[in-house]
Amino acid sequence: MGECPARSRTWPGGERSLTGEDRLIDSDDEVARPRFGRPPGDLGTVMSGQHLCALYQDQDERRQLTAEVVRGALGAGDRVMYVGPGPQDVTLALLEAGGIETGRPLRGGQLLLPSFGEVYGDPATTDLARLVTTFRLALSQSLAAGFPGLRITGEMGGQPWPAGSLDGLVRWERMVSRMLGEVGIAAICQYDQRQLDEPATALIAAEHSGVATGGQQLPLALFIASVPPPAVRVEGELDLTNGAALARVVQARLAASPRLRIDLGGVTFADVGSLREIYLIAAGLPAGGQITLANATGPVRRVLDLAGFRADAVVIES
Amino acid sequence: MTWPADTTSAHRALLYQDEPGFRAVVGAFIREGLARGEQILAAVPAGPLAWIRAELGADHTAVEFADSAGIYRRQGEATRVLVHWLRRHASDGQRARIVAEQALAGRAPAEITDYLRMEAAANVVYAGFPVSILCPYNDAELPGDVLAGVCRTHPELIQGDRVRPSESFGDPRSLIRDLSPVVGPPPGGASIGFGRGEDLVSVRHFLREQIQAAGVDGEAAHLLLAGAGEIITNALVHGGAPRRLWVYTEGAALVCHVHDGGPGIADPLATYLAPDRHATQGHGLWLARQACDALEVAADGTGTHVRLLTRLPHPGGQQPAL
Repeated sequence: MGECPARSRTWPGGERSLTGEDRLIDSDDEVARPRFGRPPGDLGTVMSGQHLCALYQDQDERRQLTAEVVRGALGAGDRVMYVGPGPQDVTLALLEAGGIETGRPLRGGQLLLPSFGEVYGDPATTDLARLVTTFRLALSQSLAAGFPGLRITGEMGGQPWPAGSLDGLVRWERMVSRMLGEVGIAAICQYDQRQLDEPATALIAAEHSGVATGGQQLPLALFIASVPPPAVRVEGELDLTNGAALARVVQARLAASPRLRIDLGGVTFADVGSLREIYLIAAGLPAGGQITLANATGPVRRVLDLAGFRADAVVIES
Repeated sequence: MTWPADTTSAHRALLYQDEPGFRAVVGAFIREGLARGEQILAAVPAGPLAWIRAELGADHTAVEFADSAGIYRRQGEATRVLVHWLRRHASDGQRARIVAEQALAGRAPAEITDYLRMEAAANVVYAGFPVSILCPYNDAELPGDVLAGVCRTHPELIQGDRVRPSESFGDPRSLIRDLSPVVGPPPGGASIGFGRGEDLVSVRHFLREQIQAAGVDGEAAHLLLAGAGEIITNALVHGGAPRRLWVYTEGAALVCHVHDGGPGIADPLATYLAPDRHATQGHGLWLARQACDALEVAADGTGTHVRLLTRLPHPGGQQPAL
């Protein structure tokens, strides 16, 4: 299996690589293990602190890249805020058209759809300190709800920049970059490239740590917040490439509540290494902590039966 | 006969000629265990099982009988069942006895060799338990090479009413290496290379297609996918390039053959040992051994070969031996 073709673009006026490869902000995020990681700029595996710029040419591309961001967040178990292009029903319709099933992520608090003003306040008066405070709070609320991370994506065109100036936008993006680095969250800014000329595109891109490359393969598994929180439902396949993502989600959930129910009813393949992550975490739980594995499918049950895992803090619910 | 008083684990082969010879020794073994209040498990085929019942009379109800056809279908399955039984019934101050015999007549060479590797491993697998294991073999029926293997894998032999050390008994690890010849993949066999975690999706797709095309389905297919998946992941994490999976038929078996350029699995016993409570690895190899009808691990100048063999379904519905 080769690399999926990246929807990369050629940038005007610069030989410098804008893939983000050389400008990644350091991160201890375990999801992107170097050996099995994906290319930088991948919307699915954007890391904490990373500030990506995503450009679309038409409505199809916009739907596709928005869906990739949201699906990527679900594939990491992160919370995602989508600052949509209009009223909530318009935003929801756009996500659904991109193939995202929004019901459960909305109910579980994993998908939030705030307006630009609710998130950022008035760009004319907001300063870095206030942005940092706002997003530290948003991140701590996400962690308290059991999410390992927070991602933000939103429509940047048509927002109330001071006097419509590109300078104002550039200053704003620069401030957001600093805030993301300080707070440790990821953002993907969406731009309609049809509204930008080449110099403007280059200026905006330069304010981001990378330009998103789309068209990536789907996440192998989704980690969906379930009700009651902080339960989590896993859907898809678990293997070497996403066992660490599972561990990250489980640890974040347990930090929010020491008794966790993991619904494995949507797992179609699981390897020993990924399920072992759960047992290793369980072995370190404080007294009273417990992990319940619910709805184990045949592929999961087979591994649980044969692998020889043992942990008092793991309960298998049949 | 007078039974040796075991204080640690013991692993003995009984070479019997006929029913009276079997009943005399196995009967004494079980009765003495019952008299000492030990837990007793018999995992034997239907014929010897009837002999034990007849020999013990009413006492046979104190013996736990395992479904021999079920647990010996795969050697790894038998090891898991016995280890789990011992964890429950043999611990500090509580000794146990096991009578273990498999129906070997008519089984294919690959399965017999896998069986003998398991008998070699048994000397280490059960060493930590206060258990005396007696393995009866029909001396009159089994071929000479199998009996030679029995002598190499059991530290003590019983013939008639005599217990004696086995002169050819050898170190289990060396013996497993000796019993693990390299079998190369057939030229032109269907195969797929892999080198990164991201390749696993397409490797599993290939594997599912090949398993289905060979007519292996149901539980055997699921197990093979899981077991081969662990070996493939192991090759990715611990092995070296180049890495490749072949799937082909050999006799009455479907073979998943994983090769990598690394030096291989250092401990020949790795796949035989149940991970302990605190183990952070070893679960995948342990699972792989239970997931197929025979597992072979071998190394040569090109790297490591791991072969998982699964019996092909028989057109008549009967599962033949490999």
